[in-house]
Amino acid sequence: MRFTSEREKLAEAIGVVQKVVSARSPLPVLSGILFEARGSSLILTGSDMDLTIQYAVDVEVEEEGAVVLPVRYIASLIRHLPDVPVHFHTLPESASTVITYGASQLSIHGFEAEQYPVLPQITGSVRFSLPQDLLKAALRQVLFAVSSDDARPIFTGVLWQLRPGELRLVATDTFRLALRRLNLREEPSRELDLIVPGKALGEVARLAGDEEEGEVEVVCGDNHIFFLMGGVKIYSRLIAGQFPMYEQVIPREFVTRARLITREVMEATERASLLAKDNLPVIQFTIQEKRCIISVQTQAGWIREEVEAQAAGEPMEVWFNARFISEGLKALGSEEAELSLTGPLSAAVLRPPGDESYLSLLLPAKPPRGEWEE
Amino acid sequence: MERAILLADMNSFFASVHQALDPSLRGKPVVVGGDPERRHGVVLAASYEAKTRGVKTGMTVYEARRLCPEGIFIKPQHHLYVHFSTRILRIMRDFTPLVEPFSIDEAFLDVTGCQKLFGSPVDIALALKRRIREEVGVTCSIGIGPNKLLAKMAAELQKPDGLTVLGYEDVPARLWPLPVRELFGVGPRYERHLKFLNIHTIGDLANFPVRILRMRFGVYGEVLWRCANGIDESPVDPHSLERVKSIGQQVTLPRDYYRLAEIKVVILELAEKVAERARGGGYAGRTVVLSLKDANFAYLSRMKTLPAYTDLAADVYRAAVELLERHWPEGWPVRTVGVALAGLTAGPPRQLTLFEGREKWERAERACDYIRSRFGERAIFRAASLTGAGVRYAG
Repeated sequence: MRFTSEREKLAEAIGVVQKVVSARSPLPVLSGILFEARGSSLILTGSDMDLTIQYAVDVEVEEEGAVVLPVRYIASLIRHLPDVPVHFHTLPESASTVITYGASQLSIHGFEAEQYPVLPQITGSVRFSLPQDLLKAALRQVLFAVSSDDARPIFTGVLWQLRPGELRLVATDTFRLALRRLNLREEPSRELDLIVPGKALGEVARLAGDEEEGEVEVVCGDNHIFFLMGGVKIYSRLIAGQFPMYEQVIPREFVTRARLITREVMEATERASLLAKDNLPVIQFTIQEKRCIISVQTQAGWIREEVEAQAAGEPMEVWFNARFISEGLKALGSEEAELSLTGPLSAAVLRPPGDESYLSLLLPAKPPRGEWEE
Repeated sequence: MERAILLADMNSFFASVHQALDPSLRGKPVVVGGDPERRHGVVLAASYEAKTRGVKTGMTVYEARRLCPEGIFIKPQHHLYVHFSTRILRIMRDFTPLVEPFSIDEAFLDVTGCQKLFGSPVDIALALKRRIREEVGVTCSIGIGPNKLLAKMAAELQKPDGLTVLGYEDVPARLWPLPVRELFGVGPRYERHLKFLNIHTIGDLANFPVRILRMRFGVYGEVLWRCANGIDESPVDPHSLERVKSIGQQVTLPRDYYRLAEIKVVILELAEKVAERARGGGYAGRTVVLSLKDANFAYLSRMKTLPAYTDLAADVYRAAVELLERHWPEGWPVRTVGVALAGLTAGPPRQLTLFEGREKWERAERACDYIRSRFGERAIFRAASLTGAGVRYAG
């Protein structure tokens, strides 16, 4: 394998695939990045078996070939090279690669490309595409609710529900739930439910562009899902299992509704949480006709914040985890927030006013009993 | 004003309790420990008569029998010791409300403010010893000092039935010549670390540059140096024991278990007991600890922090099983299993959850607590306990 590329371009390409590669992978070859020079492209692949990212860039290929180079050396070396054309040369029948930059050279011992696991074929009966910026924004609105507890793998993923004309994304860690609906331009060939690992979607959100022009093509296979965005391909294994019937837990009727200024509540919540306990920062929300009072009292002291609210229904006192409120408000992405309550010990709903395409649901906490001691 | 602190340490407490209850045991070598039918019984307490034969706390019952064949071996009966301990604490509280139980057989008393009522600290100590001996039938050693550390060190100096006063001025003469491991707070690991710095006696530590200790051991280095100099400002805290940090249950299996399925049954039983105790005290915790020992006492202890506080056996069980499956190879013999719930806090706010029917589980487990408290331990238990792997309800 022989090719020449600008350093900048290589560094960027490595940055795209590097995040999924662990320097301490149980399978040594997976602690490296696969370099493949073909036609006029260099294709880089990084994988942890469950999640694979591939990225193609144009380079000057002098001789086709492939090699796997260990991530811990190649990534930092490329970052530190001077900004001159960089030439790679892997000797035939060898995994050692000589990198020439200006008058200097270095060599890295890698793995032979044949050892690299075979990637799944991009096949699937259901395909659709979405604007990258739209998917990126939608993912950011649900990923915060994904669980990090490996004890229940289902909740570490996001449910993708393909329905006529619509894609629904649902994530929950059992404490809160986020639901985003996206319109599809073309009808999917059939209805489908998939659970996609949150980690993979985090990478999709990271690598998707913010501009309007780019598209993501999504291909749903039996055990895998594929995301194709320009030169980037993301392959992820699906999570097996049954997602719970989330529709049933979304309340339709509310006792109290309040319209709030998102930024004001976020700031008040932030301040109140500074006095709350780190490990369980619960704060009290008191909704009255014209205001919302955010307060907490602990051994450290107390705080009482008052923000404007346009409320309807009964006055209500409810306790929430401050972190959940902050994350929920941030995910709304709207200047105003509608907080709808069903009771002090049952689900609350946050949504951007007038927008039916998104909501997040949040369960309160039972208030502490008496003098709560650490 | 200089404080006056007492540390009362019951002598051979468990053995003394049995001698107090049964006069025929007095003056005889009594050894409390183990369960004759179970394996690995160790000596929990030995009367002074047994100690003179070389029986020591912590040795195996087997070894103790060899050293002292005529010894009277008694299975521990914890409810008795708790009862005696409560009676002793009640006597102490007649002198001062500032009583801090330190273990089942030791307590600190702050008598600074009650000398007008009861006389000097030595008078109080003598009166306390007399009342405990006459009313409970147990002797104790009392140490008196200007702080908890010196009171504790003083009590260690003379046993049994001792009474020792240790003031700041006595520290160089009486504490400094002692080996450093005798200092409260120095365990075998620190002893090794300190030896490395050529610190062998408490005096070596007291005169070592505190700057270097702080560099090497952090804050604890300075704490140890202060202790070696007899300095300790911690108050006698009557509520210290009420702040429970963790609740654990452990069991030695009747035979080695090899299959994870069998070990899981034991984990379930322990998880239920742990959760029941947590609920009983109004606690919830966030960290689950699983510890396992094999036949050679190879030890594994792993913990997992849960996303929310819990007092439910279902949560403790699930986390412990996850730890088991992740860290213990199937087929390796297990002899001892322990499950603990740590990071406890009393009456914390409870995050509610979706989907899991958690509130129902909570009610179910509380109902089981109630049934057991009314109709006994065996009134309701999991069917898994009947599979032969169960130990809690076996036999």
